[in-house]
Amino acid sequence: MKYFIVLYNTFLWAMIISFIMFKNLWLEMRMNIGLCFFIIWALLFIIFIFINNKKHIFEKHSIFSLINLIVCFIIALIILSPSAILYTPSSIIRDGLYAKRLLKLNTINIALFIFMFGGILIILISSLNKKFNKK
Amino acid sequence: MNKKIIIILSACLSLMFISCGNQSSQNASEGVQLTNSMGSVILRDEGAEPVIIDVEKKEVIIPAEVNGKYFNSPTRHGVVFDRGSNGDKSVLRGLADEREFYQALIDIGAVAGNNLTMDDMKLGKTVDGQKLDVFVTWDGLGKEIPFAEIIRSDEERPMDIRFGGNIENAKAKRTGCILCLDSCAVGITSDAAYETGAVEMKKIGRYGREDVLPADGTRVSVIFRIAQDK
Repeated sequence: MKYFIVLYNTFLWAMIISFIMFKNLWLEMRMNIGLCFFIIWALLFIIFIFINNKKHIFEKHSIFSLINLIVCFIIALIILSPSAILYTPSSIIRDGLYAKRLLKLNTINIALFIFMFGGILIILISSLNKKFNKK
Repeated sequence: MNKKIIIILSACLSLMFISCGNQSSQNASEGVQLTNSMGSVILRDEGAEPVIIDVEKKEVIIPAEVNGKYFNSPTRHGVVFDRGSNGDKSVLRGLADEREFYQALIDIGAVAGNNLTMDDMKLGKTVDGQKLDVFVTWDGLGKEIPFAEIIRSDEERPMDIRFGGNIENAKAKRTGCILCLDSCAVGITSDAAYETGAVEMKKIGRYGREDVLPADGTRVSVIFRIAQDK
C-alpha cells in the first residue's frame, strides 16, 4: 500500500510539472511532454520512496492524499482552464505512450478518472481498515 | 526493500525503452521509392497512406485525423504527417507523407515559393508561392468546409495558404509538416497571413475549433486546390 500511496501522489505532482511545461509553447512544440511526464513521475516516485523510508512523510497518508488531490486539481484549473482540463492530461499521457492513433482522448480520460477517484477511495478505505484493526 | 525499488525502476526503464524502440523503428522505415498516379517518383514512409491527385480539378487530397489536443491549446501546426517528429503537434494528424504531398502539388502544376530560409524564421517574413484553397470534409458532413473555418485565432486574419515548397528542409528535418499556421521555412504549405514567428514569438494563439470539427480521432479529408485568384 505504501508504494501505491507514493505512486498516486507523485503522479499528481508529475502531472502539474507537465502542465507547466505544456503551457510553454516553445517547449511544447519541441519536446514530447508525455515522455517527460513519465520520466518525472518515475524519478519522483524513486525519490519519495527513499524519503518516506527515512522520514515517514506519508504517515497520515489518507488526509495527505486527499488534500493533495484537491490542491493539485485547483492548481491544474489555474494553469490550464476548465475546458482544457478535458484534453490536456489525456493528450500528455497519449504522447508519452506513443499511442496517438491507438488511444482516443476519451478512452484515456475514463482510465484517468478511474485512477484518480478509484485511487483515493482505495487509500481512504485502507486507512479506515488500519484504524479498525488497531482498535 | 532495495530489491523492490530495483524491480520497479527496471520495469519503468523497460517501458520507456520499448516506447522509444517503437518510435525509432517507425523512423527507420522510410525511403521506399514508389511512383504516384502521375508516374512521378515519390518518397513515402512505410504505413503512410497515398495522396489522391486529381489533375482535372487541380486538387490534392490527403487523409487525416482530428487531434483533440489543440482544441484549447495553441499550436502553429495545421496538418502534420503523423510519423514526422511533429506528428502529434497539429490540429489534424496527416496520414500521408509530406514528401509525397509536395510531389503531388508539383504534379498538378502548383509553383513553389521557396523564398524562406531557416534564418527567416525569427524575422517576421511572409511565405510566397502558389495560392491554394484548402477545404476539409468528413463522412456524414456532405459538404466541404474551408480550412479557415476549423481554426480559431487570437488575432483573426483572412487565411492565405501558399505552396511554400521547402522540400530540402522538409527532407532534412523530417518534421512531417504539411500545412503550417504561420509562414514557415519547413512546412510544404503555410499561411501567409501570419508572418514567421507569429505564433511562437508574437504569441498569436491558433487552435482547432471544437464546435466545428468532429470528435478526436475522427478521419477527415483535407483538399488542397489551386486557387483561381492569385
